[in-house]
Amino acid sequence: MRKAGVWSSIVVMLFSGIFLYQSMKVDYEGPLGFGPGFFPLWLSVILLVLSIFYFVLSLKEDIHIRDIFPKGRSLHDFLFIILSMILFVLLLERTGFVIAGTLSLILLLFRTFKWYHSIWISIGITAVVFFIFAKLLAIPLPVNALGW
Amino acid sequence: MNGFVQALTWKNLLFCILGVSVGMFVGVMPGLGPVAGTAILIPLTYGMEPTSAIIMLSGIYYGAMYGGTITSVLINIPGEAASVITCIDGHQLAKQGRAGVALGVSAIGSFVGGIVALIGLTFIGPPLADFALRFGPPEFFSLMLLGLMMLVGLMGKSLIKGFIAAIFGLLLSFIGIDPISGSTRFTFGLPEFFGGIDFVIVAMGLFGISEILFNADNQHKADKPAKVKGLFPRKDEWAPAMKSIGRGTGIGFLIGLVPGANAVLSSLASYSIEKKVSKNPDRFGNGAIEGVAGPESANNATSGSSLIPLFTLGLPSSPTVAVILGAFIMHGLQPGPKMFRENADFAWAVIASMFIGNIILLVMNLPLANIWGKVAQVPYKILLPLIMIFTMVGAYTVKNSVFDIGIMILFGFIGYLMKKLEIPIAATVLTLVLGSQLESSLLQSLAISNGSASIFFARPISAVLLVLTALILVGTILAGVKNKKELLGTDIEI
Repeated sequence: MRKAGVWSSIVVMLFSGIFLYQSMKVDYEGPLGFGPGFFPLWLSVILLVLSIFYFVLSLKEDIHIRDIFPKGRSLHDFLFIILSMILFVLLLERTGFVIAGTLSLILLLFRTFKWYHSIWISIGITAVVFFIFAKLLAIPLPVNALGW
Repeated sequence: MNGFVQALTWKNLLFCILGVSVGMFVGVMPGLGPVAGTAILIPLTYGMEPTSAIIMLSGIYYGAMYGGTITSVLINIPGEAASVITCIDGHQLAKQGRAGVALGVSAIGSFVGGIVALIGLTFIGPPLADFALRFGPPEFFSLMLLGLMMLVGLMGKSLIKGFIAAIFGLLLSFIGIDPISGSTRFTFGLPEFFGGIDFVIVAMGLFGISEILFNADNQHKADKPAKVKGLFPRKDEWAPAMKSIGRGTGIGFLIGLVPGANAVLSSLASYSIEKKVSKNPDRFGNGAIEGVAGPESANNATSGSSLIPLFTLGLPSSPTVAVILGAFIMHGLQPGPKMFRENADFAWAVIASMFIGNIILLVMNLPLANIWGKVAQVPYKILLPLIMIFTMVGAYTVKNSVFDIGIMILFGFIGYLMKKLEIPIAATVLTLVLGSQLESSLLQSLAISNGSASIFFARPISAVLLVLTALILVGTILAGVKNKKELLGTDIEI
């Protein structure tokens, strides 16, 4: 099945199922009337019903999975953006902001600029952002033993 | 007057100038709309006083409306979605060597539209808020339901997808500790979820990161900007231009009051009306001054009047206004009927700053148009690393948590998929903001009536609001507004 809507309706179905199951674990009634499980439970049921409608309707829709993601060079750009963000998250508390920011930007830029340009642009941008947030706005960004 | 005294303190004036300048930048840059711009920059306001923070964020919102026009006229690329219509005649005028006239007329129209909407907010706001003070939990529940129904009915191409997006946002808003019972819900054993998923993180992901991912596939290439000379129209063009500005302002103002009806819709409505009332409709598309004056007045009037439901009822009518509502809440302020009484100084200072901001924009817009045209040519590959690192640092600063950056990236990916699948992101964000209020007003109403839903129909205001909600639901289904909805694709959320 290559229709994107079919797959997304299944994801919605799973999501509503998880929330329905979790709502049943919370009190449906409380001391003053309905409890914290009441509204989420009914909303999950409605979402489940809607996801079935969505499934049926998406069989007629013409959005294919191949239309969802970019192709060729754009697909690489897309993936490198995600990878560089993930790299930033993984490194931030281990190496401190400046190294994490610089490395993730190099990963983002080395395909667009010459390698030495991508290095100085990455260092420059990270340093400026670090200066604005950590020094001017006094926001405690994660730093390494050297203070950056 | 006290509002002006506060808004004119050097600090607030500085934040107003900063806000409108950033707004102009956001508006000028293709691929960076007002909603993404506001969401990305919210964390910058953490250390600020609430008044200064909201003054700056509102400045970004209406400043973007001015900025988007410049690129539409000069390089035929709308910087933000509401300026798409301006490309049609605005760029034609530029090609005829009359870029200055197009920008001059649109600046005047934008100014008139923005100021009239603010006058509306000044005079309609307090009495409407007083009226809403009579509202109890049932009325608020019905009102929020009506607002959401209008939004879901108008936005996106499919009603079912709209509802799915809305309920998705509602369910997300329940994650964390329930404020009424104190019990934890939907935390999946993760302590990071105890405080709930932060609205700012979700908004930054759904709007900011998804935009970055979307642009990987849709990069704009800018033409050389046209030169700006002579800002005023010919003598014979003044009268039709002013009439168009008047009509555009009226249409935009009314449309701004309706939740879900964004600035794109108002500029579109204004353009089609201008074409209909014109004696010579063939001029449209070939550089008609009315085709610029009307829509530009309309989209600015809409952005101003859409703040009326926010200030008086606490209801956001568009995604950017929802982001601003999120900022209100973040700074400990609750917009709604009580705001004009309990936080009057704040409310009037923000409104006064918008008057000042519109004047600053008028002054800043025209002489600097050539420079803004060049700014729009900054290649996206230069802008991308800046936006990305700024967004990630912004997400971190919300709670000094790396986990939040991960959540933002996840929502960025979800937002990208939603855009591609034509599921309206705006509906998710709005319900995420309103979710806990909607639930508490429902539960309070049911507690008052001992669990009977008849309370919603027994109280006249609530009953009228529910009937309207039902009519809109039935109308949306029956009218089969398929053709009209085609115009309101999910990617034009303002």
